[in-house]
Amino acid sequence: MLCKGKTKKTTCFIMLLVGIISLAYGLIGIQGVPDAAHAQAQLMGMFSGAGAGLISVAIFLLIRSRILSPEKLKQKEIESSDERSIAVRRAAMSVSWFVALLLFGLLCFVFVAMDMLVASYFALAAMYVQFFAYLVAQKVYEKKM
Amino acid sequence: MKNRLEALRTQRGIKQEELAAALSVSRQTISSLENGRYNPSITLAMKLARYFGLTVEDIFMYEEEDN
Repeated sequence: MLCKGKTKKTTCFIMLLVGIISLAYGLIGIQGVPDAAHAQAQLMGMFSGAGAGLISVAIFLLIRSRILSPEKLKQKEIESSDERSIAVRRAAMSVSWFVALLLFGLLCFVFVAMDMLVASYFALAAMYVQFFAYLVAQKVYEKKM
Repeated sequence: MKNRLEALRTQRGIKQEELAAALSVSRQTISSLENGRYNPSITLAMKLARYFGLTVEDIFMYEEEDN
């Protein structure tokens, strides 16, 4: 379930792997992009950036798990799996979900005002996807609980 | 929900940190429980009751306005 807050080593290694693939794809992909294709170059840059970010976070978490003493690690684990912390994170996530929904709605209006119809369709689609995900999650948890 | 957690803990000379460690929760959780800002899950309430050798009802008092 979301918000449990446990970062296992496997998760770090998956992050590292995805990061390396994304970074390599971005770096190799940009070689074949023509100079005039700015959007494609930017996309490859985004892949590289996301990959570098994932690698950094994964390395940081792996190093931290090695540097910290077992007592401090245990304390960190307690803090992240603590039921009040989980409740706090869940409350914060539900607020951010609502804010994101409003933001997508607002972006639809902003994009239409800027005469960017395609972007406004994407914002609208994102809003519907987010709401649909909520409905699906609700159904799943209704069965589980 | 009211509780007698702070009274029970101080009565027995236990620090918040010690209680938190014994129950595998953070010190802030104990503090929030004592202040009544946070209501525990049934599991944590049972753990607390077992720790003090009491029943859940001995520690937590349900009040009608909680609903």
